[in-house]
Amino acid sequence: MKGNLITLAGTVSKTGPVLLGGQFAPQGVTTITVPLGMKLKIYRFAVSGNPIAVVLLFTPNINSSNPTWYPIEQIAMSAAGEDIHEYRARPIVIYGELGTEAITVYYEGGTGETTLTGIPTIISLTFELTDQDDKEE
Amino acid sequence: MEIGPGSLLIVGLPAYGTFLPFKVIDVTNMPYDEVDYSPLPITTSTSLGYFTPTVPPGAPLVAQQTGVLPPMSYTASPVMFPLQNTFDPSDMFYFESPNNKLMVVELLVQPRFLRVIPEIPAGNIVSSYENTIFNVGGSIQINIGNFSGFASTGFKRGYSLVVQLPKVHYGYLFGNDTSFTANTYAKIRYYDLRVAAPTPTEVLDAFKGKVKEAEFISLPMPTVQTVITNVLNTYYGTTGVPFAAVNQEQIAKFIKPLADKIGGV
Repeated sequence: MKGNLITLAGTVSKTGPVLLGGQFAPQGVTTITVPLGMKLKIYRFAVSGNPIAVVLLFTPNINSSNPTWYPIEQIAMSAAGEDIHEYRARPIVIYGELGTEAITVYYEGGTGETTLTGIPTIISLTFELTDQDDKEE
Repeated sequence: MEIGPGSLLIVGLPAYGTFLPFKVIDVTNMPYDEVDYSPLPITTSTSLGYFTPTVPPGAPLVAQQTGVLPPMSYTASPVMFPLQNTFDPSDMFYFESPNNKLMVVELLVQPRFLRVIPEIPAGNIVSSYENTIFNVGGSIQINIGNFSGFASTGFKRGYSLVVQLPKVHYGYLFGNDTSFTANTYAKIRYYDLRVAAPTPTEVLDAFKGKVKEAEFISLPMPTVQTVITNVLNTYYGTTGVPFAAVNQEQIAKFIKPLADKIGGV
C-alpha cells in the first residue's frame, strides 16, 4: 500500500506538547497514533526561528492514564536559524504493533514563543503512514 | 487488472463452494472507466461508531461535514454511493437488467490509510477464512470480517474490489483508526460488462493457466445468503459450477443453464 505523505506544522506558546496542524489535522493534534498493523515513517523533523529545544517523544501506550514517553530525536538550536533533520533513505520507523503507539513533539524550552523579527518559530514534521509490509523503507 | 473483450471472468463464491464463469463480450464504458466521486458519501446524518479504546477526548460524534471521517471513527451502517438519475439514485451500482450485464467495481479511497470493507449484500460483512477438508469433502467457513473492534480483521486499506451482481445492494464500511481528521475522496474504477457463458473447454483452460486473460475474483461471503441465492437462480439459472466439477462434461452440465439465461459463445 502506498501511503500518504503528510506534513504537519505548528508554533509554540508554552512548554509542552506542540499542537501540529495541517491537511489531515484541521483542528490540530498533539499526538500522532500509529494504527494497528501500520507503520509511521518519519522523513523530516525541522525547526526554524528562535533558539529552541524540541524533542520527539514516543510512547508504547497512549491509552495509559500516564503514558511513559521516550525521546527518539531532539533538535536544540542555540541560536536563531533553522535546523532540518532529514531521513530520506532510512526514515525513523514506528511500528503499530499494538495500535497504541504514539509520538508527540514536545517543546522543552528556549524562546520559541517569541517571534524573530516578526517571524514565528515553526516546528514541522513530515511522515507517512503505510502498511507494515511496505518494502520501500 | 485487465478486463477486456474476450477475457474470462471467474467469480468465486466460496460460501456456495462454486464459481461462476463468464466470457467478456464487451466492456461498454471503455476507456472512460474512472469516476472521480470526490468525498465519500458520509454526511452529518451518517451514524458513526468509534474504535475503542482509543477514542480521543472530545472526538465529535458525527462527521462535521460531508465526506469527513473524524479521528478513530467508522461508519456504523453500510454506505452506498448515490448518483442522480441512475436506476436507483441511492446506489449508483445497483441494476436489475439485462441478465448479461455485470459490473466489476474497484474503489480507490484517499487517504489510503482508511479501512475499507464491502458488505454483500449490504449489512452482511464479507471476508471469510476457509478451512477446507478435502478428504471429508466439506469445508468450514469462518467469518473473520470484523470492523468495529479495535483489532479488526478482514478489511483492506484504501481499496476494495467487488463483482457487482444484479439486483443486490452492496454496502461499504469505512474506518479511520488514526488520530487524523480524514477528508475523504474516492475514485471509482468500474468495468461495465456484457458477458456470456464460456465453453467448458475455456473454463478448464483458465484453471490450467492456458488462458492469458483470465481474472479470478472472489466474493468472500462467509455464509449463503438468500438474496444472493435468488439472484443467482433467477439471473443465471444456477448457483454456480461446483469446485468439484473437474471435467468438461461436469462443467458443461452447470454451464448450460447459465448459457440459457445469458447466452453462450
